Amino acid sequence: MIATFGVYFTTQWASFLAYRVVFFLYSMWAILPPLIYLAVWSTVAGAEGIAGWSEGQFVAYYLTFMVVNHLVGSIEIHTASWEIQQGEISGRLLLPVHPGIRTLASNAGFKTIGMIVVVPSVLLLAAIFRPEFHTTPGMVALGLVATIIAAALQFMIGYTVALFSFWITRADAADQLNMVLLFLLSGQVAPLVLLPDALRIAASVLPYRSMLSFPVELITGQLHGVAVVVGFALQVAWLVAAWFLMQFTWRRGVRRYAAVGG
Amino acid sequence: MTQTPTRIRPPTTTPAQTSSAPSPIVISNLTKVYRVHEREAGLRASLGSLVRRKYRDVCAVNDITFAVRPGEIVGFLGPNGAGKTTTLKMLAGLLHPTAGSVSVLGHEPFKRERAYLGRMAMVMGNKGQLQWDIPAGDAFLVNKVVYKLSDADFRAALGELTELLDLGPLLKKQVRSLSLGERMKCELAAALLHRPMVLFLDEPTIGLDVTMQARIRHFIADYNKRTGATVLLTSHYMADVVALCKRVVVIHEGRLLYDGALAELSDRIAPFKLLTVKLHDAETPPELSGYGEVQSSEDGQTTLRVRRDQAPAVTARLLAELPVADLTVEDPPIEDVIDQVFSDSSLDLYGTANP
Repeated sequence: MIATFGVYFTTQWASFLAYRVVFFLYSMWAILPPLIYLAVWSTVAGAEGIAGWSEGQFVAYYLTFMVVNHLVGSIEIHTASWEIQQGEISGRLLLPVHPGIRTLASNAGFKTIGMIVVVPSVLLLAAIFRPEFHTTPGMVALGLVATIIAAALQFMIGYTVALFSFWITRADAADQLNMVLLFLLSGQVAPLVLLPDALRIAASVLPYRSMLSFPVELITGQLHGVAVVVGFALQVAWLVAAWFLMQFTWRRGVRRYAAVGG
Repeated sequence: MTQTPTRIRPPTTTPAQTSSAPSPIVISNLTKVYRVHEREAGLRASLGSLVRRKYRDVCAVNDITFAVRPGEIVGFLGPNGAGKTTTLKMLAGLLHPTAGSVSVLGHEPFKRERAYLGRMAMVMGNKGQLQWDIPAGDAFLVNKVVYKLSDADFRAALGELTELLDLGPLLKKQVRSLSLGERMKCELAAALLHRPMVLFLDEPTIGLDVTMQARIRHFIADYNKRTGATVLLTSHYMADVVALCKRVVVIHEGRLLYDGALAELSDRIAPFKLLTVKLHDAETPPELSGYGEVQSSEDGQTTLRVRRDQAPAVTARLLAELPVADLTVEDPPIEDVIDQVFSDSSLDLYGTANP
């Protein structure tokens, strides 16, 4: 299993390196939308700040957001969905290995190699916009753990949505809904603490805060004590739920595929 | 057809019970029914189908029974839509049978157990499985890991396949830049690296030129000889079938029409011979319709269609009564025989039903 993951992972690198321009553009995907909100909020905050946040804090928040966004995102879900729609999955099902391993390896491959683009871009932006971090190394370390959990969570939810393609031809519609909610409730439009109560609660009850905002909040030092524990508890609960949901969807999906044909 | 049946399909005795080694592929009363959504053309019908969907059951495979002996290459024939691919997909574990059973190497394929998937391979000529953006050589390395091959086994298998299929120059090229024939060679190699004992080939030579077809055919025959693998093959190229398969299974509209020797198939469906006669001093070809049905007559040569059992007598009469310069007796081309099977689904090859 680990060896299989490894070989798919390296193949994925080779594959991305074969398409350098596309790979570069995909990597920018994690950076450009938050950059807009960085510009908006740091301008709005100006010299006096807003809701207790200074201009530099907004910059720190969005720069962190970019890196975490890249590390937790799941773009290859579209490929997984497409493979099912086109019947390409048949070829994968003939192999003595779960097709999801390949998707996961592709996900991890893209994220690691994408850092070549993301890190210099964020450093460059940091030099221009001057972030102001109020955090501790401990919080950053916890934030990295939360990032890994968030990545796993986004992968599982994204893969589950892609598996809907076994039933409906256009699972990308479901993916769009997921993406819109993620966009609104993950702390991209605005840091969650600045959102109205109703939205903030929705973001926490739904998995979206756990999927992206929570690690960013940790790394930027917004959370303390109980809030940290509650955040991790929510993340782990969603992770377990997503795991079972994904397994269930996979088994049902393959059974349906075997009934109706590809 | 009014011939007397010489062989009735035995519904229960499969070759498994007659040969000593167990049959790697056993199919019993296999049936697959698809439920398809259908609607009339046009916007109105399109809107209507939003509200009320009409479904129709389509029986793709209908109560098929046969078995394949170890090391056998069986040709699986039938027109488009006959149910060949559906059957192969059930054997490969991609489809779940609606009724009946399939057993391959002692496994129920649709359970997709690793122990089974690791010992079989399916190659679909119209659907590549190699990743497009990496060289074939890299794809082989992926399969080495996926199938848990040891370095030694991998090197041996790759060496052998490289030699047989002349892969040397192809290994470093991106799959997308390979020609159709080159890609097929790589697909076959990728599917055979783990030396599967059962091989399902769905149109392996489709779209290839004659030379490449012959190449692939030789390779399949060779692989079968060397490894003793059991092969079930579909093809629309009769040359493939003639070269590789002594036995054929013919299905049409999901039903089994024939299971037996390829040679016997023409006896059964086309029980006649073609006699081609050339006469001395024949400026105007004589009227030969008294000897048999005249099929063609040109350049002083006449081809007669004569019932098989009468062929020797007619031949003797021709030689005795006419100044024969040349005479050949042939079986009808297999293409014509198969065409007759496909175009006339009412054919009763077993003579078991009423005509």
